[in-house]
Amino acid sequence: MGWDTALFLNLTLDAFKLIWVIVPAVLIGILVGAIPGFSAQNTLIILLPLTLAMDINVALAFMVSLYCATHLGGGIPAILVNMPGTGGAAATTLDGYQMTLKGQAQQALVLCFVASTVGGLVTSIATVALLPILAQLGFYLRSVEMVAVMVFGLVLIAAISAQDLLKGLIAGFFGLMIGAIGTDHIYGTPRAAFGFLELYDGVPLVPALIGLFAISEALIMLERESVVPTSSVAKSRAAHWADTLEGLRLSLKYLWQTIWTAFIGLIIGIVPGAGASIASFVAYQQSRMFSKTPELYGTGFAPGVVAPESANNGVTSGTLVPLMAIGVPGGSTAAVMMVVLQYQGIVLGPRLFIEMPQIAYGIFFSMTVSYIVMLFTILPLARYMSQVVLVPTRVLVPLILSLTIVGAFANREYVFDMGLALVFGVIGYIARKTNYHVTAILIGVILGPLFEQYLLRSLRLGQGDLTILFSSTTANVLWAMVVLSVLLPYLRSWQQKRARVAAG
Amino acid sequence: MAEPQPPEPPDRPALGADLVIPVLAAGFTIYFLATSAGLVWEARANGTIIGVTLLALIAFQLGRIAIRLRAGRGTLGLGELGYFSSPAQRKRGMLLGILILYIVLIPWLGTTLGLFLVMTASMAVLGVREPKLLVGASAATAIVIYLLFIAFLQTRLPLGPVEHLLNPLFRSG
Repeated sequence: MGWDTALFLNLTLDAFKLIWVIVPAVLIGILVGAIPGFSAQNTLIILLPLTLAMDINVALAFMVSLYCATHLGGGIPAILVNMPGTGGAAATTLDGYQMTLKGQAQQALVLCFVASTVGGLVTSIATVALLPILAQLGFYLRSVEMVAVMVFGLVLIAAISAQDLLKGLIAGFFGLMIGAIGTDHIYGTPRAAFGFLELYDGVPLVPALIGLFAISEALIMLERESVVPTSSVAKSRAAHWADTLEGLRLSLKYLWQTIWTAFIGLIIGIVPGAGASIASFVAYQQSRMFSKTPELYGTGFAPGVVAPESANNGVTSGTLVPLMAIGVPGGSTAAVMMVVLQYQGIVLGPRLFIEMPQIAYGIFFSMTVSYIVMLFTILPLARYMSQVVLVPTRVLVPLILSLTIVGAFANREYVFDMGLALVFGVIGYIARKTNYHVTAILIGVILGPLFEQYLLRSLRLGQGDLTILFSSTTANVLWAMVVLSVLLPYLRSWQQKRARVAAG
Repeated sequence: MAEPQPPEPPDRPALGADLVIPVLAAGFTIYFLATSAGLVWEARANGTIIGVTLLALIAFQLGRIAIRLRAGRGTLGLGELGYFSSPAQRKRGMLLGILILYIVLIPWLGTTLGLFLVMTASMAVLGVREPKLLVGASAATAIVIYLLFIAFLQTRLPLGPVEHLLNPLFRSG
């Protein structure tokens, strides 16, 4: 179907009429996203009886608004207390938390909110226009290319998050190794599960996220009186509306960056399984690569917050593209939406755009409206949210530990997962103290099962021959980028050393 | 509150601390490879490829540390990780102990009462002495979690005496 102005105008009006369901969904989504462990898909599963009873348009508006809002909510604790609410916000900690430490929490929150909403808004509109073309993208990346994409992603993360590339790589591969725990995909044989039945399905991501980020950070935070250093307390206490305006000014300054990094999220979101965690890191790296001041990244630099937040909200539109266009969900939340759509008797795939365009396109219009609602709901709250960093750590640390340990249970409802979160907490604490970046470990754990799935598929195609991984041009370009990503930091430091010597 | 600080770090960095994660990673990798050795190739291909790469990276790191030790640019000490008697480390240990106790007792205590007790005990360990703050913050957290996740979202968090008492009032069905 081509561009139909009348239909799209009607859909926009219809989406605005659903504002009564979008507002509560946005509020629940922000809250759920801000607490590690309570993900969008779990909340949607819990609320399934409610959404199944709703009219399909209302249910879609509710689900998509809640989903988008969790992506925004995940950035809040990432900025304020260095613990991402969702995996997609892990990259936001790199500069967001540094801004908080400098007493600029409010500006960082505004940057996060504007980047998230503008990124989400732009990509949802672009998706409507480009849907038929975007739907084809997923077909170009097969198992062989996906193996290379994952290694590339991991190396990027190791290079970005760790000051020492070797330590970053060890952390990333350690994470991949942990991600290999559980039964294998073909024969169902358990591997390295330490005899725990609870690990047969692999290492659950929520306890890993909670342990590596929340518990480990809380264990470090208790050494200080407050989240921000004493030198920044006065600045944080004196937060006023001018800081919100300053955040808005910075958002405008980096508007172009918000837009192009959102498209990185959109494209990565289309690839099933890739998701917000990879997208935000790739966007961060690309943003740093094209920056005139790459050395400022990681020190509390505004574009370091803009890029990952914009990208992880670009992913929201991307994950829905394969769902609507070919009936394959791009992520777990999209899978829950698929259940609701199928329950209502809707057949997903290319015919949906001809037979029920109000559903196929309507979901993206609901998304657009939810982002507009989100911006106006959350922006005025930045000033008050930023005061969280002034809560003394003797209260904040117990609060974080109690909430997140409950979050570890909520996902699979196993008490075992609470213990697992503690184990990851201790690993995370040691990793943080010794500069083996926890983000690289987490991304390894996330990618582990996917990596195995694509690797085995490739090996089957190549009848066990590993050279199959180098059999396609796209994959080879990606492998070359992997090698470059490993060598570039060493080349750069060698160059800087030479320049210093030359300068005397 | 001023606390005794761990001893001043020596001039030479404690490189032993840099070995903790590699040792953990190597130990786990060897366990993985050893326990999956008898499986068919497809079941151990992924672990073998990642594991061998990881062991090679760890070998590089060991080599790098050995060179720095030999040149006298570091010690094998554990640095901050090894100060088990420092106040912060003691607090960390006690918090972990409280959380372990919470996990063991949650099937009986339930989420709400358990959370209240964990919050109170943790704040007490970290030096909160005002009874109003201790009880108020703990009760507020437990109530919010109960109302949002147990009563409204109906998450199947472990139930205990408090939930059994309140559920007929707040939950339908």
